Amino acid sequence: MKHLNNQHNQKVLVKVEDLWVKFNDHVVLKEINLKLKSQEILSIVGPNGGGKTTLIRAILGLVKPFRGKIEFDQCINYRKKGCIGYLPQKTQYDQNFPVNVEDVVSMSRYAQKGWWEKLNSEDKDIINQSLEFVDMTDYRREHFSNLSGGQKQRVLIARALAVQPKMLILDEPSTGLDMVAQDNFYHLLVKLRDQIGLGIIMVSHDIGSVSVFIDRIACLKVKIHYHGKPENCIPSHALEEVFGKNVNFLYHDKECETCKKNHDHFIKS
Amino acid sequence: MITLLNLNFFRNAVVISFILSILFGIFSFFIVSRKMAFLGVGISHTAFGGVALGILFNLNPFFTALVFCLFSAIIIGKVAKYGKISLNTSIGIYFSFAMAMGAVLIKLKQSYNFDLSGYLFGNILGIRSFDIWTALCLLVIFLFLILFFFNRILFLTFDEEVALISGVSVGLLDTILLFLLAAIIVVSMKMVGIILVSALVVLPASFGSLLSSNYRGIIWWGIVFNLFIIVGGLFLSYFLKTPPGATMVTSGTLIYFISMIATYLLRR
Repeated sequence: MKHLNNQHNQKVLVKVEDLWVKFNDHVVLKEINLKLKSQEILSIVGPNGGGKTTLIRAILGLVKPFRGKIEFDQCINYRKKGCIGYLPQKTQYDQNFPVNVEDVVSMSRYAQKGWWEKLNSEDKDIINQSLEFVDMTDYRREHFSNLSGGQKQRVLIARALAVQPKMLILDEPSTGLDMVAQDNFYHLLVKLRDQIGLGIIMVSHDIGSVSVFIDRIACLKVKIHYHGKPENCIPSHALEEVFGKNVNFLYHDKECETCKKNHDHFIKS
Repeated sequence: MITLLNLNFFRNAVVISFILSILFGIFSFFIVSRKMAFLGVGISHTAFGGVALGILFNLNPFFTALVFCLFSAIIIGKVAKYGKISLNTSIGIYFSFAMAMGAVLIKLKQSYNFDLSGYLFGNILGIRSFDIWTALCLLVIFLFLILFFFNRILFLTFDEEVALISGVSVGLLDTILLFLLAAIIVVSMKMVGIILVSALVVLPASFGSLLSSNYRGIIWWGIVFNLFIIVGGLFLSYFLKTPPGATMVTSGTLIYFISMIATYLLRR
């Protein structure tokens, strides 16, 4: 795999140390220790209400930690000029907002400029490249509301890329996508990791299919019950602690024929 | 018509109508897109409490209404947060309180000859050159903001949190917009009246979105619609001898309904 060859170049983009978050007196997150490096995809899985979204919101600075530290690498000029690309949950934005695809991606460029500045040719190039990367160039004049769920996700990824981030944070990006769209989407993430070298944090409740292409997985239910490589197989006690005892997992690993096919498919393309 | 425009008060009303058409035409899109229509209702009704405070303490009702509206917008947010209720519930609680308080205060100052219906439904005889200058100032500030910050405001309207993370000063822009909305509503109080002004916040963008599915189209159609109903409504009210605010809102809403039915039938 291409990204593994460059592993010595990886730097830590964000480091979370002993993070606690409380809502009123209710502990939502505790003792969270987590790292994200460049050129890696970290998936955070766990049940609803397990604190997945709260964790990424804390990293984004949208939720105030009760205790603990969140440190960024110097390359992330936090908030001032973006540097974090963020794809929110679907429910957060208006699906029928009256703009076209190019308008959506341009928003990121405007946010990076001084208020007196107009977009220059460099910005236009960035917008074009971002659209090209997610394969949506042909749709640039299309109304956002006319797109399918998967296409909308791609446009919003392009918007996140137009910030020129070092790091992407995705909240449940596969929700509402069919199998093909999901596969294409995961494929895109691998491309972002290997070709641009982004560090990606992805929240997901679907541990089966993500385990094929991600680098590390963290099982979260208030605290992190497992954190490591997905190939090492998540210990069953960790899965039980997070998801409960009444769940059976059809777990994919390299021995599984479908996984092998997927894996080869990801590497080849 | 020419003799009509020679009337000082009517000329003032026409100038204000033009300014308000542009202001509400643009603002309406952002308010409606963020599903904050009820905020317009809240702020405008709250203005009544502010007017009453001005009368009670012998201050200019414009300024007391403006300050009171801004102060109220902050309180509405706090009540929603600490009372753990939605913003709409908080607005619902607060605006009836502000109106009730206004009614109590005005009754306390019994000697004052108060034009209650003028404030509630508008009275163009009350428009002074002071109102025109204030409206012009607002127009200049607002156009400056639109010229240089339009795309950022569009971004935060679409997706507040991503805008914040991408580098937009969401908090500051939001506060400025809230301040301007309150000011525009207070300026239009004499023209349209406290009760009816919220229609001007929601109607233009609703009409615009019937005709266009792009924000530019929605805003331009909103301005055209406003010019038609606010300026047109003013003249109509003169000839029908009806209250101007009520004439504008009645005709505007009817035009909206008719257009809605027409577009529905055409698209079927």
